[in-house]
Amino acid sequence: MHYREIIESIEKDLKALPKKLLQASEILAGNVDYEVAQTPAEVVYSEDKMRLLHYHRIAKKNLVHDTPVLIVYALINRHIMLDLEPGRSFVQNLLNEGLDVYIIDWGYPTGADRYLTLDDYLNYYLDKAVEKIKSDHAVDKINLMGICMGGTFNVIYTALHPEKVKNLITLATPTNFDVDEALLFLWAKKFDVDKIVDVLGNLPGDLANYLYLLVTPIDAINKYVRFADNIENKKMVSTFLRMEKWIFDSPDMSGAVFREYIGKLFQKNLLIKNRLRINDQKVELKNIRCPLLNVYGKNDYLAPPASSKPLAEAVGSKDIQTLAVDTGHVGIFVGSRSYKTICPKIVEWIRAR
Amino acid sequence: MDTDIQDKILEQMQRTGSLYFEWVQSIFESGQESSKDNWEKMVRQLSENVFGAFHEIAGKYLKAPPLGIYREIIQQLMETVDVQHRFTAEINDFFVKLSRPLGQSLKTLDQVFKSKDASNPSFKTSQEVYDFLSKCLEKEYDAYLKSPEGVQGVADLIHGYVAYREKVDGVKDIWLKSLSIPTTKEMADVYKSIYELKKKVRTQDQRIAEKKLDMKRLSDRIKMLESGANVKSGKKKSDG
Repeated sequence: MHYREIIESIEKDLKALPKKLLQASEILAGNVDYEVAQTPAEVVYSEDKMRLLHYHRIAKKNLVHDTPVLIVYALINRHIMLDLEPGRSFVQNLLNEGLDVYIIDWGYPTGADRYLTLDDYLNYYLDKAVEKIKSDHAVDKINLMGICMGGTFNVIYTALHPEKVKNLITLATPTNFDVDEALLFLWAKKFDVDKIVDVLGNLPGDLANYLYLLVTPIDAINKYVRFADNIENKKMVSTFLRMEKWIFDSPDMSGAVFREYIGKLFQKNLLIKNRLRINDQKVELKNIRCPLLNVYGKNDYLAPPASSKPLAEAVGSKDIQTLAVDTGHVGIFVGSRSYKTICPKIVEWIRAR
Repeated sequence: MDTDIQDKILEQMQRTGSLYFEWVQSIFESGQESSKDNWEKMVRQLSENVFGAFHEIAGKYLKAPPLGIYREIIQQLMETVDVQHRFTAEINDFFVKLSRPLGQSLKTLDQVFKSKDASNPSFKTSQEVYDFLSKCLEKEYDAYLKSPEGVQGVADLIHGYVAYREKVDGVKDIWLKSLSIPTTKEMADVYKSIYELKKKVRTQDQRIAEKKLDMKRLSDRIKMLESGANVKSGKKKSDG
């Protein structure tokens, strides 16, 4: 062991510390820009707390497809992650590639929304958004893109309303919940979900957030160490604060949806078994006959490959493409790999259909 | 109040204080195996003592009658104190167990430092030491959190929080009731009624839209039949 070198390097770090702290305080006390979701968009429809946003198209770009794309995000955290900052925006990249993009903002549910079920979210709010886009663009079908839980929503919606979906794109989307390698799946199986909902009403966003952080506790600490290491870098500080804003901006989840999602999907795994019922309608995955692009991260610890891959086998589509990417959960829609590889591939796939 | 009563109240408070101290001590020891029974016993003792002391002070010394709403409030309050003790103990137990992988990783790091085995990493910078420790921690935490004990620990913590909230809401509701403010339960019923009403309105809207569509189809059909009839009668006239 090189004890002398280690002590010397600690000394060096300690000597550099005061200067670093001074720089950090100057940056943090100054005007750090940490605005998120800056891509211009217009609210074209809203109902209760849900809003449908239509991003302004890039004027010089020709549309690659007549059919618009509707992005559906999860009820956990907010869609702002897809538009983190100029130059690091999944949405901006899709617009740059020439897509016409809509997104659903689910808003912040309160105690009054605790009774909203999957049926309300899928057969009402999501359906209203789809109908609005269809009517505005005079098309019979739209392209649906779903992320994580939003992807699961889209899968169920497409199985129930196959006539309204032209192409289905799922990103980091779990459909098989009988997987032991993901901590969230293991924990969810142990929850007394009825008791939790009966007492709390909604699932508190902060509680969900702590569980997410507990999945990788060392990462949750290490990111602050890395932040401290790069604190004199204004651009990095800005991006870090934006990420933090996204992570801790956790809306509560409707209690009824939480009850159904955990009880029927995580605990009983009914979706992939074709035994899920939404408002008495059976969700048959074989009803999904439109082209499917299923994108998953090989290192995704929240929705591991074993939970995403089986969708391709379960649907009735003949045109199925699976895209396995060397990244984790968030890396699919944030980061250079996402913008340079995944976005162009998604657009190329849509263009061909 | 005479000094004798004051002394007795102080004595009660002192007893509760020392039980709190023992309780905290037992929580910190709960990281060791088979100590959960220990703190369960402590929680019970502590809650019983707080409950008894309150009754003694309020009833015997301050002469407050333990009747009606007062009695209900005290009962609920004491149950909340008990569940809060349990939840705090659950949190501490969780964190003590969560610190085990940290201890294990530090032990591994210590062994690497002491080892003369050439296959072990030889650190040159503090960063390398930190990175090695991070990797050890990641491995240890992943194994612990995925173990049946780790999974159960998280579930117990969540259920402990839910039990605590249930009691707190119960007490809150009694206070709200006494202040003539709608209780949590009453608000939940109001929200449910609004939700059901909205559902009914949506169903009605959908039916109205369907009826309108039917009417439009019918009116189109009538128009078509009328125009067909006009053409026929015009043809007949011209034939005639």
